[in-house]
Amino acid sequence: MASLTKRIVAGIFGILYLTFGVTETLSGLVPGIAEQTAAFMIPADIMGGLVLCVVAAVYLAALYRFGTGAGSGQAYLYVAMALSVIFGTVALLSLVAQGTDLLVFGEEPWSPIALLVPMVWLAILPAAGISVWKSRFPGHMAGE
Amino acid sequence: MKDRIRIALAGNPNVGKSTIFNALTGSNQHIANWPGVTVEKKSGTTRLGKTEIEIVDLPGTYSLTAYSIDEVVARDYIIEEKPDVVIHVIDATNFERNLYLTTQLMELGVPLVIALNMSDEAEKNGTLINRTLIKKYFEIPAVRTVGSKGEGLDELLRAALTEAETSPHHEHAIGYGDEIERHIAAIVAVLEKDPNLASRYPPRWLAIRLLEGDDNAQDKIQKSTITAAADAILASIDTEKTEAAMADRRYEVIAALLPQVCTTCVKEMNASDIIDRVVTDRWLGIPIFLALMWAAFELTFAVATPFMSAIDAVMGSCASYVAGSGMEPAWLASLLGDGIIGGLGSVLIFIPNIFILLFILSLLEDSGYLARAAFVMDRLMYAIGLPGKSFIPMLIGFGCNVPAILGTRTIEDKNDRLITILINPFMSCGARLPVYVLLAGAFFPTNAGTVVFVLYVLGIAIAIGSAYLFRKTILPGKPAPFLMEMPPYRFPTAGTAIRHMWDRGEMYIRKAGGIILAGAFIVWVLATFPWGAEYGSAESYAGMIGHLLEPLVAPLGFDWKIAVALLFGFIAKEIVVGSLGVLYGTGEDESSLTGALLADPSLGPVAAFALMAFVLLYMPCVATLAVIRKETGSWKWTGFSVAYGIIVAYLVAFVIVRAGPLILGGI
Amino acid sequence: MDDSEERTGSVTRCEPVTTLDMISPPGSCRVASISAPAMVRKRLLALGFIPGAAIEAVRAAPLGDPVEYRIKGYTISLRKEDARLIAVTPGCA
Repeated sequence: MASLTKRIVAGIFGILYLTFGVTETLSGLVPGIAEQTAAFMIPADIMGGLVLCVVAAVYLAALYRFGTGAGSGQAYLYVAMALSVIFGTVALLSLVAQGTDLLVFGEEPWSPIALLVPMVWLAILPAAGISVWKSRFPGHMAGE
Repeated sequence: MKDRIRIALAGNPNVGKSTIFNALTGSNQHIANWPGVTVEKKSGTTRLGKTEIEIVDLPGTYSLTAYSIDEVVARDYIIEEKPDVVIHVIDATNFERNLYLTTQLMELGVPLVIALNMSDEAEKNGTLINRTLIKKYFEIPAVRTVGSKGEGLDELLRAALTEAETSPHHEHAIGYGDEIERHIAAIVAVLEKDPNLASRYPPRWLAIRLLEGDDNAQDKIQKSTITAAADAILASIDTEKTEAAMADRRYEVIAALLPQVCTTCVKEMNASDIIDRVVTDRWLGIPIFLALMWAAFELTFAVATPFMSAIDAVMGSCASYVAGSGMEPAWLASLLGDGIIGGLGSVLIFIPNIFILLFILSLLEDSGYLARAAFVMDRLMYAIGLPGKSFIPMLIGFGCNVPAILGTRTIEDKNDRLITILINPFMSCGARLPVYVLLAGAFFPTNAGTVVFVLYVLGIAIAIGSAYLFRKTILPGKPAPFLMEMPPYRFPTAGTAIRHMWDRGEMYIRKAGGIILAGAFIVWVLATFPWGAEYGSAESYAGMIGHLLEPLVAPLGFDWKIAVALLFGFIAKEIVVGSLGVLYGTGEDESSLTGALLADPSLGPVAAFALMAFVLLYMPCVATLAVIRKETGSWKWTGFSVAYGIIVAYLVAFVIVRAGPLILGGI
Repeated sequence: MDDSEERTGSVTRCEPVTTLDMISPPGSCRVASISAPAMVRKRLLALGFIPGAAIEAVRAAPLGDPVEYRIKGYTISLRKEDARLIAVTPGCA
């Protein structure tokens, strides 16, 4: 990946994670917002929102390090993408479990659409990116 | 060929020893504790040709001094039990440091085989280890292995068998230079005068240990006939200086041989270092750790939900089948349904949580992140007298104390671990929440959230205060010195994690299951008899005990009904809610229970808050108690945990009912 | 980096002895002696903290303590309180 591509990836994902993170957190804190964000499949989840903010911070730290030449930008980007994948997997597993519980033991209806929360779909591209990148890690980073 | 040989696996921590052990023994394993200590002993069997091989996995150690209980266990096994061969598992990516233990094993004079594990990783880094030259210089056969892929294991066993046949075994030794060798010779001469001592321990090894000021070796001398003569020689020697000189000499020998047997053994900047820059970042390190803990928590409790529902449904239908079967006599149906099946349910219900958490902890440990987590949190935890690793069990305690206490296994130091276990019940687990929801909802309808939050903070404060108090009184001292290796990150294998999960989970079922069942049975007896009384009502034994206890809890503003409910809370704290339903005659319906509670003149906001605090603190539930017993290996500490909890709960509730009216008066 | 980085290649030209906790990362030094209680000393010796061994302070934890060190090709972390027991000569990498 060219350095510019990496900066763009770090910037875009940093902003996306931050936006959804702040929205989820606020939805959890202020009930009025939750009603509106629910339409966009954004759960009202304070802890989940804060987790998204942490991931955002790692992406933005990567961008900052690319920008100032402080070094290790690639390391931050790599870890940020790994975190995306980890949290995406965790969210997916816990939603599938929740869904199973509702379908088998609960009375409420549940549809797989409920899986499409930001924490899950934001992880798709980083997962693809990491699988491409993995074969070259860390060899090309050592030179940094 | 011998029919049967015994092999011991020795090696540093984090070298993949247990992976090799699992690959060699498969499912033929037996886990127990080493006699007299709570260090885990794993043994298993396998076959090679006609030979039956027993394999014992020794605790991971850096050396064979008497620094820790693990080292004493490992070296006592080698010296006293005399296995036919010791396989030293070496991390080929960290060859130099690993060889230090090799020198010590050589001095023990046991037949030795080296397993150069993780060789694939080492070769990827460009490290090449010449096994022929190892054989030439150290006179020890070395085998290339990759434990995670099962490579080289047959060859390893064959080498071990051959080595076991090659007896008598030649004396391996490191020359320590003229001065120290003179001391060694003098002490050996004295030691050989006691045939009993000389036949049990290799004299040269014992002499070296004595010169290093090893307490454990001193003890062995004190019981012999040559105490005075040995002490006389040792008195003239500065053991501290000799010890450093000997360690120095061992590393010198290693350093001299290293370039000949190994190329590019010096590690360059690697992937681990790159990841560490980020996950231990000054600003991001702690947030990343906390976010990962959220993930662990979410997995443990969210993913377990459908499994718990399934267990609940199965046990529920079993119980109703028994109840509806019209079995005679009726008390037998009640025993089977409420007593046994209900009790079994309370054992099984924790299994999803426990297994998932143990799986995650194993992933964290095998991947190498656990060491970073301890590194990141150590400063904070040290302030309250605990090591960094204590943080994770405390956090998991908010979900359930049972898996949390099982998770303390990652803490090496005994006292550190004991304190972490004892304070864990104060972390407010999920089962206490229904009690808070009921009482806070009834008595603090506008501030319920704040009240619940205050209770969580109260639990944390009591936990921290207790840790501090235990350090000052019953378990004095400081957290064990933090000499923690930061192993390179590795991709954890699901097989190993599942294995760990199963080993510990199975131990929970076997060891804790019985205690939980017994507890459930006792409560069933108390609630059901005398026969004919309504389950858990005033006429039952439980109700009578409640009346007996009433004067004791009266200063806290509780009546006999609360006392009975608390008694049932011993099974699981959420049962307090159901018991109150029975006692107030409202059944399952929570809104009518809320009404009944509000109408009770003996309960007000202050008493309700005191009751919630009491439920938070008073004693671990039976399942938690069972794992405390299992993990501490002591009824004394289990009893202490109960007594301490009750005393703290009583004091806190008392303070609340006395001081509460002044503070809560305004609400 | 400070002036101590200007090495002459000779061990004898190292700076005066200090303790390991005073070496702030990134920085390097060599072990001079260990004054820890017997149990900790034995462990440190086994881990390679022998007089003359080169140590590199790699990084500190987010709250400044403990510190991660590289010695003999692997990394280990020590609390400052324990690092204080190891006398070192700085600038001697």
